[in-house]
Amino acid sequence: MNRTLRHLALASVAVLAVLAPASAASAADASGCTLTVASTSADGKPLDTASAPGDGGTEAHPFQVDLGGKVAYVGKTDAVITDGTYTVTALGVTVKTDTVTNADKKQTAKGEVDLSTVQSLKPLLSGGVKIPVQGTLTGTGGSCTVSGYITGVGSATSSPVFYAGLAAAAIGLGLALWTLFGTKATVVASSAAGGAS
Amino acid sequence: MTTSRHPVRGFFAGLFLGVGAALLLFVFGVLPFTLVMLGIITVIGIVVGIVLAFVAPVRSSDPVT
Repeated sequence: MNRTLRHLALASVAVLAVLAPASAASAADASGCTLTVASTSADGKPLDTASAPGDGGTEAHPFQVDLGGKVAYVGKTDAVITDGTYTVTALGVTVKTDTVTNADKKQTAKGEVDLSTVQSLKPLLSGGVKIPVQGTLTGTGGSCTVSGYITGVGSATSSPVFYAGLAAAAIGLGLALWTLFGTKATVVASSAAGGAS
Repeated sequence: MTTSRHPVRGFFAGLFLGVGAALLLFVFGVLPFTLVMLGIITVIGIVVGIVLAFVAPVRSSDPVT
């Protein structure tokens, strides 16, 4: 193995090592709490429901959301958690984090999230893309973790991810063909070869 | 006779092919969109690209004096 190849292999391993900690759960799950969610489309029609632990929100059947719609939620913690911090991650990357005081010492939370205010995932959430998400609440009295998968609405070909993938694959294919047909053998004819002695 | 191979070109071919294949697999719901999965498929593409550069058949022979 020559030096170039060895450096490329090391670079590949380094990339994998950096990305490895961003792993996600393979199924909807909850510990220390329960969560039930129901999504509606942009025109207000019921779209999907999921419970953690329970049905929906799994890799095989991700929780479908419309980024023009809303998600209603009902959550209950096993213990009273006060003065905590909650973190929401998607793709293994933190997308939201904030503090919770819970001065009333409640164990249940109920509300609705208007997804039109959460547009950071919009380019990714379309077609059949399944994105792992995880929510964690840690504070005085305990902790709660919920994880699962979400997906968007619309066709795969309406997604910018589709066109990005197509463009990258086309560039890669072009480079691969260039690599394949650019391999040449060069005969170096020495000026001395066959010359007068 | 010397053979001119292109491992760096193969690296980038594999990089783009790997990323492209991963994104297409994600968008059609074949695999969940995780950075780990993106990394694994990209690395597989890179390895395939480099191997391609080293096993590609010799296409032509240009005499050089």
